[in-house]
Amino acid sequence: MTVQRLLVALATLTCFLPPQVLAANVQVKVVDHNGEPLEHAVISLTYSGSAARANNIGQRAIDQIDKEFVPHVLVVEKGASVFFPNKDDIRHHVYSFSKPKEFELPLYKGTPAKPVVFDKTGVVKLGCNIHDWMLGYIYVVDTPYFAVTDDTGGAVVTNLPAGNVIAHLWHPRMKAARDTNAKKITLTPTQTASLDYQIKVRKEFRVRRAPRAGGRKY
Amino acid sequence: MQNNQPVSSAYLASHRSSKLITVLLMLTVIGSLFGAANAMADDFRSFGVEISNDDNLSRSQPGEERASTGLSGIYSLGNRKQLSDTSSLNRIYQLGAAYYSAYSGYSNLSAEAQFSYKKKMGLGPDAWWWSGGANAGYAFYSDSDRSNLFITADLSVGKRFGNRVEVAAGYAADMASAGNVVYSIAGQGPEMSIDFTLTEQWLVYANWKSRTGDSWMASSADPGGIDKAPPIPDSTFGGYGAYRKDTTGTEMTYGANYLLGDHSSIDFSYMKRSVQVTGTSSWYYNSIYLISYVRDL
Repeated sequence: MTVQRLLVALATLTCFLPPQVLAANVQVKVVDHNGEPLEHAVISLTYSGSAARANNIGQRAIDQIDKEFVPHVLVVEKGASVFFPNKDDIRHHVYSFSKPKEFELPLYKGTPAKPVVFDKTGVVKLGCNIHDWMLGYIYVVDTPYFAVTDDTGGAVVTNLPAGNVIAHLWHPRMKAARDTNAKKITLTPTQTASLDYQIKVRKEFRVRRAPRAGGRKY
Repeated sequence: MQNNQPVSSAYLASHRSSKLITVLLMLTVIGSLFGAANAMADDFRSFGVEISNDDNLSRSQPGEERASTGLSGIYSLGNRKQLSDTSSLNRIYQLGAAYYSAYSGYSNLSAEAQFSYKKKMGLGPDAWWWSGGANAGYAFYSDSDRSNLFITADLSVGKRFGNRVEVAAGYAADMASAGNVVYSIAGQGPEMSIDFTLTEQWLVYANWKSRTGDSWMASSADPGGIDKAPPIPDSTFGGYGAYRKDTTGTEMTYGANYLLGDHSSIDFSYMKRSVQVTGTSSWYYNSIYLISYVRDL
């Protein structure tokens, strides 16, 4: 009887604990086909059924620093607004031809007053019409649970509710389609699940930034 | 040697110094404009070194070639002023030094200014573009007879196809006004180029150029054809005569560029130049091998 009372007390107590205390985490490690750590891979988790849902929609930013997009890959939830601050002392001209969001921010310095709203899921490839080598991605997802790998190929998605989850992996140079990497996992409270991926990536043939003998090409 | 008309050294000295003053004034004006526009411009500085081997530095007929290895250093600074969403003005200023091991008279110092206007016809790296440009400079040769004011101009159009291929075609004209008129030449012709990105690091390219106009040549005997200036003894290539002839020629360059990072690359190239004296069977050929390294500072 004492044990039963104790269990009831514990169960009651857990109802009043902040959700983070019982939250699960997913730890991801991504390497390429040569076993090298892969930076800029995106892990996103979707729940089957009606799991608790945090709201990650908000205002985000992708900077232009030293004639590059920073970060190279930004993940946002569908409906998010993204600012494009230009932190260089020269002008940039940001555009995208991608289906989820076609837009253009003609020649500007500083931060444009209005953000761009990304209301469709998918990959939005960014370019600068002045500096053709500049390349960036906004990956729009329909879940608040995601993370991007760092230069060690690692990332952690935190504060996840327990439940059945499908993990999706995407990388800008990934050869396979996104869903061929889908993995199903079941998360229990306080669990830290580990997911390891080895994926094939394409070579990147970006417009060159480096100078060449015989003159500078723009 | 024929029609060798003496020119007074006083005349040559005053002629050269007036050209030099013109170039210095030009570079000063350009420099001021550069400074004024700097606030909104995209600046860069770079340094390059180059090792070359020319199997016919003397531009002699077959059997008389005089080869040399050269070592050059080039310092460039420049900027790009974005005029609109799709057009830009590029300005580059260069100082160069070239040393030739076998024929020191060919060693030189040079100062050069390049301007070009580029217009993209749309958005993105695949958009068609056209460009017009000119450069002017002065080269001070160790053999001062060769020292010259040079100007080139070109108009070109190009496009990138997908991630790997970029092609361009255009028309270029050049002229040089030298201390000794034998080395004053002018020519023009079409040119084409193609770049192909082979791997993430390697890019290979080929350039073709045709040129009709004057060329100087150094040979033991007159190559024939029309003399565009009275020949002179060539002090750089002792024992040869220097001729200025009406010529037609082509240049073909094959190269490979290796990317060392976002700010430097190494280039390997081979150029074959074939030049015929108009109306004769006299030719000269150059094979030039180049290795160069360029780095943004």
